[in-house]
Amino acid sequence: MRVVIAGGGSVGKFIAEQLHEGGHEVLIVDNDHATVARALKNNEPKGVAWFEADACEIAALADANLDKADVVAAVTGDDEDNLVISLLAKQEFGVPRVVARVNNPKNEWMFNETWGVDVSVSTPHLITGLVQEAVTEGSFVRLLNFEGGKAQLAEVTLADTSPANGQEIGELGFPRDANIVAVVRGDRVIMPRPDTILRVHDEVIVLVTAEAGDEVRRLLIG
Amino acid sequence: MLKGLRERLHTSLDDLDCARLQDRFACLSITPIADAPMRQPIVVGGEIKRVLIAPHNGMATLEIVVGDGTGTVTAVFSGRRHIAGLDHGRAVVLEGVAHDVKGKRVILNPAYTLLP
Repeated sequence: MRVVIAGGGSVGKFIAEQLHEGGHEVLIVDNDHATVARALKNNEPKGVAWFEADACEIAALADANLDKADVVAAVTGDDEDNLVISLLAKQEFGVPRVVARVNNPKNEWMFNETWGVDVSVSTPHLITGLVQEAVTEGSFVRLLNFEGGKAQLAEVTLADTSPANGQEIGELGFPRDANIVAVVRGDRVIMPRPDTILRVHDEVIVLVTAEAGDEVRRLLIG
Repeated sequence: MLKGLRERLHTSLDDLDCARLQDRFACLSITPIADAPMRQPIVVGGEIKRVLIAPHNGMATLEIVVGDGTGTVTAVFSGRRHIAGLDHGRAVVLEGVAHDVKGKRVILNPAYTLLP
């Protein structure tokens, strides 16, 4: 896949390196001369191309061949820039998948398809989720949002009182719009099958739509 | 003439509509919608077949389906509920970049020209 990353900070560079190792063609766009010069001189991340330009300009994005990009990731440290880049990528170049980074959690509500964003990643929300996950048992912890909040990946650690304890997954009567994607038991990740029996303290990872959320809560938490 | 009449009596309304639309937009120097490439700047025209207010995530979004007899394209205007002139049946020319959304040609916030 051809991936264009806007923003060559630590986040952009890390993503670029990972994607390049995964065999993808990666280009980082950054408008800071010093950053680009330093990266080119040190040849980091290895194998990744750099382009010094302002990614908020249509002409710069055209030079970066955005019309051929499969994915654009707007990961600058500025939410306004990330939104402009996302909108231009979708509106002017029809990029199939636009991923944007949310810096200030107060701005998360804007990161949706209205601004051309397919997936938004908000580090503060992710951290809240992970902290909640560590301290609470028997509650519904949101991990990641998809499709502008229509679907989400969530996690429930089964408490002693959960009605799902000792039940087979196939017999839970899960709604159609929800799926158990994994069960984490101790150090093991279990592939959920209809005959998998859930136990107390299991971490159940579910993919649910907004409508199915309540039903899943009822089944797993009670 | 008789042949023409027979044709008119035996073709479905949809086919007649397609033929009429193709005639209407043939003289303009625009790309037929079916031939319009994805992810490249295009100029297409047609009649508005459907006007839809489809809120996405609580944000008003106006969707307009335009057809020229060869195919249809959906213009999406974010943050709008109504745009004066973009009404059912109007002929418009749209300029923008189309991308694929679940098999549909969608142009996000295109420039539009109303035709008389």
